Amino acid sequence: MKRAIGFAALLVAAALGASLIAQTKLPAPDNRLTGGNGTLYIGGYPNLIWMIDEATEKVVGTIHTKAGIPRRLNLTRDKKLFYVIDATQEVVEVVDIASKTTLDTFKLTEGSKRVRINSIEPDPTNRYAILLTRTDVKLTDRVDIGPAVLLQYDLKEHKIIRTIDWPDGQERDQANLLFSPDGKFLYFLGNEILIFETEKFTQVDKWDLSNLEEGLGQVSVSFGGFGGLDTVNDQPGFLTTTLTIEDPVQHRRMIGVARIDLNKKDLDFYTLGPAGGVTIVLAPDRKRAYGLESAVGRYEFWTIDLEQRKITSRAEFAGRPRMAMKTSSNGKVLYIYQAGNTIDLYEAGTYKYLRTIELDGDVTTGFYVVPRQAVGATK
Amino acid sequence: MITRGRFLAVVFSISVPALIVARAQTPAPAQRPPSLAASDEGIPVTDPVVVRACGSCHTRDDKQRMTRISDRRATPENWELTIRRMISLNHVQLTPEVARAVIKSLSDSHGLAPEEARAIQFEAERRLIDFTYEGDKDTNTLCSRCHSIGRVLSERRTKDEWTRLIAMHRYYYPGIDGASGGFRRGGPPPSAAAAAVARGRAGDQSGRGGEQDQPMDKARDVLSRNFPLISAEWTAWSAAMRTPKLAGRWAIAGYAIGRGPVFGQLTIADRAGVADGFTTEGKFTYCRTGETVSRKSRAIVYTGYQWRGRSADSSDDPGTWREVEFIERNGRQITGRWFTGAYDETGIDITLRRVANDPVVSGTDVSALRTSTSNQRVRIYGANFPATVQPADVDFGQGVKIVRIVSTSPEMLTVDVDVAANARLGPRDLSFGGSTIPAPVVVYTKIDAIKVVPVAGMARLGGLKFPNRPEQFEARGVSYGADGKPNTSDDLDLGLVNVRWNLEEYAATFRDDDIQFVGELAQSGLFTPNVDGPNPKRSGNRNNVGDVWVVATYNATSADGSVKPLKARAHLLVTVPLYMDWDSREVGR
Repeated sequence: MKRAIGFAALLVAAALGASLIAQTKLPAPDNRLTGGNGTLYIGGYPNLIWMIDEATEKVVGTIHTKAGIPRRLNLTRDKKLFYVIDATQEVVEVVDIASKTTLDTFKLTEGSKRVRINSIEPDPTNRYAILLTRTDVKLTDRVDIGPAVLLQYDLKEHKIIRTIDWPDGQERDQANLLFSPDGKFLYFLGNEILIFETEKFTQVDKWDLSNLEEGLGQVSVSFGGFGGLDTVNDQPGFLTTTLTIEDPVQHRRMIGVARIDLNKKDLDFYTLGPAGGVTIVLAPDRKRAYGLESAVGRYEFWTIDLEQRKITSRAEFAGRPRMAMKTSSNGKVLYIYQAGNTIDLYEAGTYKYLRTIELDGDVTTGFYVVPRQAVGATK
Repeated sequence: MITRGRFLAVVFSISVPALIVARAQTPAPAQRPPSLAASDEGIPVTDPVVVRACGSCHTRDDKQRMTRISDRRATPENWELTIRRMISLNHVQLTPEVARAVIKSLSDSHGLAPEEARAIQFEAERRLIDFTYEGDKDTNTLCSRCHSIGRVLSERRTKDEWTRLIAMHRYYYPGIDGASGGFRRGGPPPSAAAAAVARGRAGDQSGRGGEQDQPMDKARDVLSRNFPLISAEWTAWSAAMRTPKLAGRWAIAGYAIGRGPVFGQLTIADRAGVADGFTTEGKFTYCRTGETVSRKSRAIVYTGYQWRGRSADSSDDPGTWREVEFIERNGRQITGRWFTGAYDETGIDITLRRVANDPVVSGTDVSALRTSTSNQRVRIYGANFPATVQPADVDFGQGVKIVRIVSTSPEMLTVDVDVAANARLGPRDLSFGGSTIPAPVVVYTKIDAIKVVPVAGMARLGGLKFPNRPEQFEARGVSYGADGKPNTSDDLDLGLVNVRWNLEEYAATFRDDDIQFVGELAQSGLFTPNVDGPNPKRSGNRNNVGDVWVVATYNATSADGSVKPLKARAHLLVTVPLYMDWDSREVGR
């Protein structure tokens, strides 16, 4: 006991001393490298979205979701709202970021008719949203699984405006949807990009990316990784993503970068190296992209100079078996996250490990890095 | 593929939850559309208990065929899973007695034939084995992403029924369609894929541009083709099936990994008032330690050959051991596994041989006899051994001579044997009193190597929120046989040997540090995993998961008297607890 009291006294003395020193000295400038002055938004367990200040790397706010565990966040173009799909894929919650409040929730499930909402894409004015749904009906001794259905849904009236016919009558189970900046077109993103006008949602054009050039071989373009499509750093109307080819002669698989101009139906691409499990994220300056390679036992960072069209550096690092990456708002920090309750920070220029942000629960969604000045801006 | 999951709680005598009285589930009784009728090949359901319990939702046609039920056959375990799902998800309320009766009835009338069940006996026996369904590896991969493929192979259905089973999965598990290895590929429509194929391009890893069928469609076709409702085996067995006549004495021969052979006897008696019910009472001994265990159990036999029992409560046996056994058609031998543990991980492989009036040999305490040795002591276990035995009565075959009968009892003979220098290497059958057991021992010259089993082990963290799953390893001696070459057909398994145990890092990734966290390996070969939950001492607050080598070292004495260490290793995966009990409680009830 004596020893414990003595130790406690020491601690108090040390604390007092430290306090005095703090009062007599100016706080040391924080020279540590941070990701900028934006905000990270990430959904987690249970039922919340964390808001993390990039500068301090502290949780500065939480948005409590009413619909349950968030599984997918969809940031609106003006960066004011999140459309959140819950873990059951039955409920959509519209969240106002500034006030941290839920503006609306809706679901299409009724009784034994369970409607799963696989993805949502609100139009730029938030009047309506396109929902990719599937309706499953529980009958007395069996269930009926319906086809994938594309709906135009009125966000104010809470009613279905129309069912959008699938091109060629061929349903798609998963679809990355994106409106053009002016809202006049809706793009279905896949190896085949389908283009719809947004008055009656009839298909007006089709663009088969898998058949780019004779001699190029099999082409595959990926849209969105963990958490779905993130266009925060892309110029509106453009998408920068990875492209994989398998040449028809040597049958070598290579990975490259594709910059897609949706408006002009133009694709600029080049190959970088052998294909592996690489995903890339665009830096805010759009001059660089960072690659994250994750193979069993080998994790690498890549830096890609988009102007020079080449990889400028690669380095192994202590990654995680399941991880995804984002760039910070100033482009100087790489965030590694996904499984678990931590976000690891690495210096983008050197790949040096910096710190780890620890959250109170497991991450359940992808996350967005929103620069401070971007909130409310549509660019 | 690792096939073992969480405790299947299929103890039919007591495990069905005490819920009350059959009544209709939430949706109104069906007005059965034509598409919902049982198929023409459907098997009638005639048991009024089943009709009452299930009939409010599964309607019956004029040929006594019930929707869905008539179009399916399954093992008792799978029928129990279905009953559990009906209770947990469809709100069916059944008394335990009715639930047990339904499982028994359906297992008998809509079960699997012995020939169909034998290949997937590991599933009911809760064995952790590496099993791949070779009939179609895509189907194997698709199903075993979530559960054992053995669970799938425990079913027989019509094509429509396989389709409805897939639909049920898609209804309850919304992510199952996922493009990355799920039921459906997503991506561009088949027309684009067809165009790509027409251009001579193979499908890529995402499945785009490849085969036209969705993965779930291919699995449905494979399963309905290879596991149909009606089979010749079932047609024959369902006619021949009867209550097995098992009452009487049985000799026990078993093997517990890490602990060695067990021998004993038990008596099976008919259980009054329970259809195909039995009780047992017996005793067995672990040869290496002399530990003796008395136990009682009660069991029900399903489908005429599937023994499902559990130990009866007693002061030294709290009723936690389960029995899954396969009764041979001749009624003279029963094989299977007795097991316990939160993950059914601790078990004894069991063979029961019927004991009548003649001697029955069960096995020996040693499994290998070295050449050029004298007076090796061997204990022979069995039943009905006479009081007087002559050395000539016991026969181990060429090169092995019984030099002395040390002692006799009705259940054990102790003998000393000499093994000739020129005795041929290989297994020896043991004959005594007209009873012969194949290959209880092998004759060898030296231990050339050792091996560790299981070669791929799995443990689960636990002890805080969830129970843990330890893993028992053992080392076995290996002789390279007459050709002196490893990995040839004459290699001999010499049985359990004593070794030193240690863990080594399995450096699958750089800076691997799993060995510091996963758990402890005792010198008995028993690995005890660390506790569950995030560990703040690990990067990323990871759980204490990891994979390591389990290394055994045996000091073999060479001909010149020098000691040469022999090493062998196995892979051990230490993973998280089974948070979701998919096997016994559907969708995390």
